[in-house]
Amino acid sequence: MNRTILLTLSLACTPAAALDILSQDITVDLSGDSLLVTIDAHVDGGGELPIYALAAPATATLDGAPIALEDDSGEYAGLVQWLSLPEGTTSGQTVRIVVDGRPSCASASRPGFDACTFRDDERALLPLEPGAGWYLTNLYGADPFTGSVTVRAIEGHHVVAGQARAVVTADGALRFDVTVPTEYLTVVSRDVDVIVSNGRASAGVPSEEGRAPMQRMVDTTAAVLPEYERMFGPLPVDDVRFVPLSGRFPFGGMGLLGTILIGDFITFPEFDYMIEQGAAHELAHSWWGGMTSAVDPDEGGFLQEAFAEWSAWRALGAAAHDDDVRDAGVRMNAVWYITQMAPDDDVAILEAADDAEAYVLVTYHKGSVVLRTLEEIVGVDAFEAALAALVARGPLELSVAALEEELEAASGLELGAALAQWLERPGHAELRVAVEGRVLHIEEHAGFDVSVPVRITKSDGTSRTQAHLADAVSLEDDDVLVEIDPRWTLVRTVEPAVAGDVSFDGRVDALDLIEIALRNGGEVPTTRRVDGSYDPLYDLNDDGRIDADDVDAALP
Amino acid sequence: MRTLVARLFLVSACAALGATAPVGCVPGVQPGFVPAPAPPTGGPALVTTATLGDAGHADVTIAARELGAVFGVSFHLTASNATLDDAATSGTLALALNRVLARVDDGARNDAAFGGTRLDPADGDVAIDDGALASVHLTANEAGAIELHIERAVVRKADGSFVPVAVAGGTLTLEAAP
Repeated sequence: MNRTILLTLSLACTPAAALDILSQDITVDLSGDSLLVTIDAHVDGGGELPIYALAAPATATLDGAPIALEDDSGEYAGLVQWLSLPEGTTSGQTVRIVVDGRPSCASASRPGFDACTFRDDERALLPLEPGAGWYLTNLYGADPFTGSVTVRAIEGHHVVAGQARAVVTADGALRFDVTVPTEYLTVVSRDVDVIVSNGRASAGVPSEEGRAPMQRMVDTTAAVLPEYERMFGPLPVDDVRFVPLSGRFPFGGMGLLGTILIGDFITFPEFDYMIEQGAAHELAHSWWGGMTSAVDPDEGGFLQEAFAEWSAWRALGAAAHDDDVRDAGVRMNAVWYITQMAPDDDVAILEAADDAEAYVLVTYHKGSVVLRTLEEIVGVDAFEAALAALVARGPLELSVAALEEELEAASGLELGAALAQWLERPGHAELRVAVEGRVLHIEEHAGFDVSVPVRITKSDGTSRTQAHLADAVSLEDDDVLVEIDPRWTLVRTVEPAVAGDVSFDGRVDALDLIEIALRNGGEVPTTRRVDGSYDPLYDLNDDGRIDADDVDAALP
Repeated sequence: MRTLVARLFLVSACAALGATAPVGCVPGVQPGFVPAPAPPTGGPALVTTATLGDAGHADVTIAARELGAVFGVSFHLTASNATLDDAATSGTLALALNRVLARVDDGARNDAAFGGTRLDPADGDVAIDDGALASVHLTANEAGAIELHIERAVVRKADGSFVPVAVAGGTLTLEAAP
């Protein structure tokens, strides 16, 4: 969910008075040649309310009396409109906005992209689109509301809106209630088949080729939804709806509470790798962005995107009963950040909101691994308890301070320093491992205070993991293989004192050759979110690929 | 083993010469190699044999027994009170695996590393026939017993799993090096 535009506008506006949008009951008629939207809103407070410019010509009344709704004539022309609410407007009065006309749907804020679709086979209105608004947004700041969306659509179209399952009204329209306060609403009407799972998920089928990928999204939901509900609490909607969109939108997926918008192109074969992880990530936004959301937009990237990404791999691994599934996802995120983030361009996670270049690398990829780090510090049970407590705080209650409070309450640990070093400074840990006899010394050289899990394996394959090691590790005589942070609980690199000694026994032997060869084929992916099974430890010649050359490089 | 038996016969002859023992014979010491108790039969094992050479010298061989199909194998031979050199892997190992390694560690030179690996897990495992995998030449630092140990023996499959492997070293008794 991208709030860049909202942020920009908010900074430019000074509220004349406190305004609070309490509820909106929105009727959307998508069945004709024009878009007809009627918004009945209840607002507490008066003054000039900046909203995202509506999708078509509109009129406004307060309890039937006309009030002004004017286009911004300055910097935000075409993006913002100003609604004049008389001083003393109360929640007992009804603000009615009627939007009537055929929307152009060309994005006013993102050239080349769509802000909506309005074709005979698909009609879609999205959240927070400047110039394509269809409900009231308070651009003074985040202002979630409840209400309903009632839709009349072209016959035969499948319709998704709101949060709850549709109720058929007396006049044959579909009403979708909005019970959890939100600013993110969508309505989509499309001529598609629908897959309905035996559980709590459904999906539109954008094409025959897209049927199998959408089925996999539904199946993924069936697998991970119980994990999310176990960790964070019940999803307060009847079911999860995957909604394919054919328009040119600037996202592959957008997760609202219970509703996930998916670009049709995600079902194309070249994006096959995205199906499970994309479904899991976007579904996680039902909690991170839906059930709770960031009070400070500057922290929103980390608190919503990084949390959704952490949640996705946690749930995918748990559902598969396979730690390797989760660890591969965490490694993928760590490696993508480490290999793609130019050190000179790196920024702290909490500074990434203002840096479009670094935002994705730092927020999604590093940020989600930092959450894995915090989980390792406090323990998974305490970490999940803290996250559940954060969700319970509700919309606009999520903050880094709240995260610290809940983690410390759940674990009894002081975590201010750990949070500060990972969220307020750029970079990653750099571990160097020296061997003296049967003692390993792990040193961190980038100034991070870390504790490192170490897995030690004997020749029969039995292993033990020692957690929270900050310095020396004593090995037993029959220990043969040491793995530093084997589950990628840190954004880090690991460097042995002896080049090629990837088993960390102080010398290069055939075990090192085997360890490298077992990773043959790993490579730095060229595409984001592709798992290249790459670990730089084993890429001895540093060419981005683990292959025979690296085995040869290890040979004395 | 036939070589060893023949050598032991010569040692016995040497001892029988009594006061006229040739140069290099140490009265009261029976040069030879006593293998450690053999690993239980019926499972993967690495075993050691030795062939005595000139005074103070021996050639040590590490052989595979029932290793089966593997992706890689790694082991060390350590020798107390002796110096190792001329470490080599056998043709059997080199033919089975794509890369092999045989090296004597610098420093005390009493630890030799051996083994090898296939290069791509996608190619799966390869069978290692029973027989010699590696050899190394040994020179005694002084007369007496030399303990030979196979250490850090690791056998891996292409799926990354470990194959438990039994090992047997032995005790080598040599005359002093000339």
